[in-house]
Amino acid sequence: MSNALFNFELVTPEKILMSDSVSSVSVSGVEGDMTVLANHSPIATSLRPGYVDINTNGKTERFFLTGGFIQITSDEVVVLAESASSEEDLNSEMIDNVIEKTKSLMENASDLQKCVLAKKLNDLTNIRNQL
Amino acid sequence: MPNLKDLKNRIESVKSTRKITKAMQMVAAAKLRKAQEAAEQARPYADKMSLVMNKITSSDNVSSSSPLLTGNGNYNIHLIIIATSERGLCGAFNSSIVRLAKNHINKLKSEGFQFKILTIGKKGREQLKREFGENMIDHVDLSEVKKIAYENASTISDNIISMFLNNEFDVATIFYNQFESVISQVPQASQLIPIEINSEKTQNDNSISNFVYEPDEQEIIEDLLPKAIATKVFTALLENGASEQGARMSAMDNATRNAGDMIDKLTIQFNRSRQAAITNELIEIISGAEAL
Repeated sequence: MSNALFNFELVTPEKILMSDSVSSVSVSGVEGDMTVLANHSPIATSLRPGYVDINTNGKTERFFLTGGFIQITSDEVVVLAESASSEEDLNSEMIDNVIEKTKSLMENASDLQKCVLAKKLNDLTNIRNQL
Repeated sequence: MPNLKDLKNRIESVKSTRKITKAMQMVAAAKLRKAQEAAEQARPYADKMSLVMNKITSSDNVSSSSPLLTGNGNYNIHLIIIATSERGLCGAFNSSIVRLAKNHINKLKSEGFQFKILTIGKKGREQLKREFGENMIDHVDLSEVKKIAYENASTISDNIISMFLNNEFDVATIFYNQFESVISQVPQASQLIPIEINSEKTQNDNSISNFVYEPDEQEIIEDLLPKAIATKVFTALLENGASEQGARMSAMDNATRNAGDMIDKLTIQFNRSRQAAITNELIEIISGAEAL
């Protein structure tokens, strides 16, 4: 495994949760999980609800995201998270809230959005059941 | 000429008013710091979000666009979202937003467009109710919210988006105060739907072309647009929060200073009339002694 570091930012609407040089970041993208190392090719993808693991020289930090977006450019990796919480703070009640909200959103959504939301709901339910 | 007792009472009452305004000023100063911090911390997300939106929308692969981006083709019914404060005593803060919104509404009216009003915060609602009561469709109460969270903003924006998809309006604009400094807050209008994307930055950014999108741009846009709108609402609310505290702080500072001036004037008047009374008594005593 290479030890090259790259700049990583985890940003939520309320603040920058993390901004550091890290060695690898694992996220759950909508098209599948992926791990980003230094010098990754530029890519942008939506994230499904799930965990993000940030590895800095062997130390791993884990956050739970309810969804978001990752953007990888040649000089930095940015995760825009809708909401992020550390693993300890995660509980089923919180996820239930998000599930409720997603359901209510679906009622008025357009077809394409419904598709996105349904996927999201499915992921959330899975995580809820794993807890 | 008021007598000494009256003057003394007035001085006391102005003094206690000064205490109150001074306290409010200090509370506002503490709150302002927090509100400013919140606004600053939220800025990176908003910046990144608009950058990403820029990149995606300027890419050629976006064919049929979402109505949130391009509008639904009409321009008839306008939704005016007016964000004000829940509390008063903050100078011209609320009335400057309301004035800007009113100008906008009157312009729409004269051009023959329909409009609907959604108010956030009690004060704006109170000021507009008499004139535009029948156009108000909804009100968001944030009086119970101590610290504005993204949740609040996303609830509001989800609500707006679903109204839009039900064809209740064609264009949405939010009015709020942009925080410049403690003494200056600029009322602003920002269009939410169809969302405005400033494309200046994109031109000199070369990294757009070689991006890989997963899944495709269209789906990402569907995912991101509601978030971008929520972020705009959130930014507006935070800017408004900081502006409100800034406006209140300077209003209360003025009030404290005015109270100080008034106390000085009243004290001089009090001292003069006391001296006059003493002089009077002396004259009486002396003339009494002379008469003997």
